[in-house]
Amino acid sequence: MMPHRRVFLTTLVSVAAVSFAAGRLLPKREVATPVLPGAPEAQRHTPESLPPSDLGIQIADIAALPFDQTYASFKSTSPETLRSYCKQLQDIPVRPKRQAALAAFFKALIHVDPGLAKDLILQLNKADRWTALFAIRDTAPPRSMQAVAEVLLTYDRADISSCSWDMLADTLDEWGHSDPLALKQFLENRGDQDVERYYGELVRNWAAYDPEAAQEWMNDLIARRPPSPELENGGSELFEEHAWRSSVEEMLTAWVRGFLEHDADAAMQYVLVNVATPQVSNALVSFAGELFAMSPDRARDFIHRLPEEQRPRAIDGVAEKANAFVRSNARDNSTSPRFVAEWMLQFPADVWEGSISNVLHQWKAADAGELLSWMGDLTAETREAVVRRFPTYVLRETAERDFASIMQARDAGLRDVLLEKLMRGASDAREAMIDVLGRSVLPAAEQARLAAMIPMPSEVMSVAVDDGSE
Amino acid sequence: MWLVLAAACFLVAPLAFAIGRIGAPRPPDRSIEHALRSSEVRAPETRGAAAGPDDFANIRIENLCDVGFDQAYQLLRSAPREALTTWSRRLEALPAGARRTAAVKTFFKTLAQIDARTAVDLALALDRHDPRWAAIGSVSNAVPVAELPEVARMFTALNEKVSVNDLIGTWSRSDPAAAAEFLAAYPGDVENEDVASLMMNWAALDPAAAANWLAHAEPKRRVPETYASFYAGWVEHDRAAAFADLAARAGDETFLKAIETVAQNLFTESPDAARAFILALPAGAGRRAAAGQITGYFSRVYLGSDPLKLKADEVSKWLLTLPDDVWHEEIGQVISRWRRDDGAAVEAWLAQTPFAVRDRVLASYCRAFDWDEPSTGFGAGFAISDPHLRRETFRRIFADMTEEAREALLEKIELSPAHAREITSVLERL
Repeated sequence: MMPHRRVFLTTLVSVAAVSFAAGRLLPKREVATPVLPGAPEAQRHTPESLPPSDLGIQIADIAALPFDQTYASFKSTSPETLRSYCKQLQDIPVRPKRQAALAAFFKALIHVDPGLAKDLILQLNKADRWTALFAIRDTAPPRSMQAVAEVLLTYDRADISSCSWDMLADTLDEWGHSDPLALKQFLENRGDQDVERYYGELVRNWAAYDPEAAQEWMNDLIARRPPSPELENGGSELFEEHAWRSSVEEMLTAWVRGFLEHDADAAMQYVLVNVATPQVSNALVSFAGELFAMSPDRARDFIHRLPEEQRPRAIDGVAEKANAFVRSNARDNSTSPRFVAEWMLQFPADVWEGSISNVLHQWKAADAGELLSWMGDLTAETREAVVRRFPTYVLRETAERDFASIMQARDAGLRDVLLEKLMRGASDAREAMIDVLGRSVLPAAEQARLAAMIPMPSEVMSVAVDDGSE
Repeated sequence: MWLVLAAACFLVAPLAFAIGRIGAPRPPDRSIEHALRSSEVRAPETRGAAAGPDDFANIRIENLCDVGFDQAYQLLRSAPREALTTWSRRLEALPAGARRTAAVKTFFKTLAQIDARTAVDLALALDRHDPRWAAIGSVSNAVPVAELPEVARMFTALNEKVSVNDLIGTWSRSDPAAAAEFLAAYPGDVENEDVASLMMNWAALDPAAAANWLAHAEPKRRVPETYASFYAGWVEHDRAAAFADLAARAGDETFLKAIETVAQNLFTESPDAARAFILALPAGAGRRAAAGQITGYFSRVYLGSDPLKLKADEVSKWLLTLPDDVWHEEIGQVISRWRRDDGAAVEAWLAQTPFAVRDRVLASYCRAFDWDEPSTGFGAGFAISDPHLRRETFRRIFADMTEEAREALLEKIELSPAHAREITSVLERL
């Protein structure tokens, strides 16, 4: 009986082991694709078989669905059905619900079929089109960026840009980060759509990957259409000529910045050798700023190797990196105003004095108390230079805040000299500043003395005219 | 005995198979591995054979933006949290530049859609400023609506002066009460425009709840800007009730901006709807503010694009369907603009304008004369049939001018002897 029992148990264990191993090792089938709730499995490919009312209720709730579910469903849905979904979403009467649903719909669709997303967006009304555009712009993966750019190109350029921002430029730049060659193709195919102004975005990103190819393309372009020289004494010229010259200047600067990203050492050498040429000299400010962002030490060494007359411009680029939103105690504080200011002070005052205003401005906005405390600890000579550049232009709306920030200075001497400077810069906010002084804790005589320092607006103008300065 | 064994095997086999299958780890997609290892963009030394499908550490996450979304999605979806953490750190450590930005954005955009909580945790854990903010921006943009509380958690944890306007605008479309709760507790800067975004959506969905929230909000939130958005939303929900409520407050200056906003929104939707709104208001400042918001597009100077792209001919004709105390000060500016586009059409339209209102239209048109070409506007003035209104129109034009300005203007106008006598007479009585 015993042998039989052993055989029995051995056989049973073997079968179990083989079955377990098979379960573990055999490849799994594709995970079942989730579909929108309520959409019957057998019907999901055939829009005509979907009951419109049921589907309308489901698709209207798309914003509540997890992305996984929407994405998987859309992948197995025909373009016709997706079109019908879009149509149903457009019919949702309550705007916030409609926009929430359209945003969720296009956020998923841009990953599945960017071309269809573009086509459907172009059919939307104006308000809903903005919603859909933002949805795809915010989520598009690199390979869908072309669709975003194509939608943006259908807008009046004034609607998607101003002097300080340009949605199309941002989109092309983001696309260029990952695929400059596709961007090049896109721009070349749309030469008639005023896209030359975006060549800078292309060249910078391309040069970061392949500076030689980017330079060759750029030089060829410039050789075929050399920009006309800038007219002196304000002569008029065709807008196209002016725009092309700006594009060329931007490309040349952008190439140097891209080259820096590709090979910092080679780029530094290139700039040092060619800094006397206008195209490299023009790029120096942004180049130094980018280099500082990569490595403050390398930026310092680079600036020391520059000709003396070029150093203040390079420092200007670094000063522009000071960011009021980066605190001095941040984990990465290399663009905090304090770090930038202290870095600049490694150089002689005549190199940084012209540039430090921006840093002080950022720092004052972020933490005036910290700035004033820092200034109080400077040597007399350095402090004098910093005080000279302390930003004190006052607006009516900021008079109280500007005054209060200077009153934080613990060093009475520093406070007094800054208050006097503030008064001299308060001509445009004269009444507001006098009101602030009147409510301050300063003695009446001091209030009167300071108030007397505030120039009348006309005095400022006449001084400026007399000086021949701005 | 053998039958019993066979039966036991029959029972045990599927059970053991199922246990083995359920416990099996899900391998990453080999095609993703291939793509991430063989990208042409990377230097050759970065390519290499992976140890095995479980070895997420060998994935070249730096090349994530070189693969299609589906591959990136499957990879991040299948990766354990430890791998995601390692990858985000590796991306952060890349040299500054386009490649790092692209990889960070792609990674966080993708992850935010799969697992918002982890995406937020990893973004917050980054140290370096630029990649950290690239990650934060990507997460806040890409997170699905249902996961927006995670973005709220991220902004709260950041403890920075971050604008929450986009978050509020998006969140309040689907859950305004939650967005309001967040705003009330948010330690960062909350601007009235954030509250306005909330009101616009909430009032369109549930005006009673929105009104209740605003009534109990800090006094500094109850300003013209937020009321304007509140009513703009309410009009979408229940036009008649919103009109009636706003009409009852038309005498209160705090609500004039709301009247202007509603009028503008309605006009872009349908001039008839805007007319119905204006007529629902009591006569006076409210009506004039509503019409002035539309006509202002032709008298103000805008930098950048014109958001409404109104047509002067349509607005001129629309104004005449309103009571004349609403338009008689404003219509001239609109006609003046129309004339720049199509002078003949203006002349034809004026000619068929009902006699009862034509003089007042001409008076307004005259007062809105173009300094560079004043003869046309003054020609309209001389066409006014009522002599008293004609003189009064010219008097108003010249009354506030300096002597030099009057002379400069008159030098530009071609006057017949009769018209010159009339103007001289007006000037003598100033």
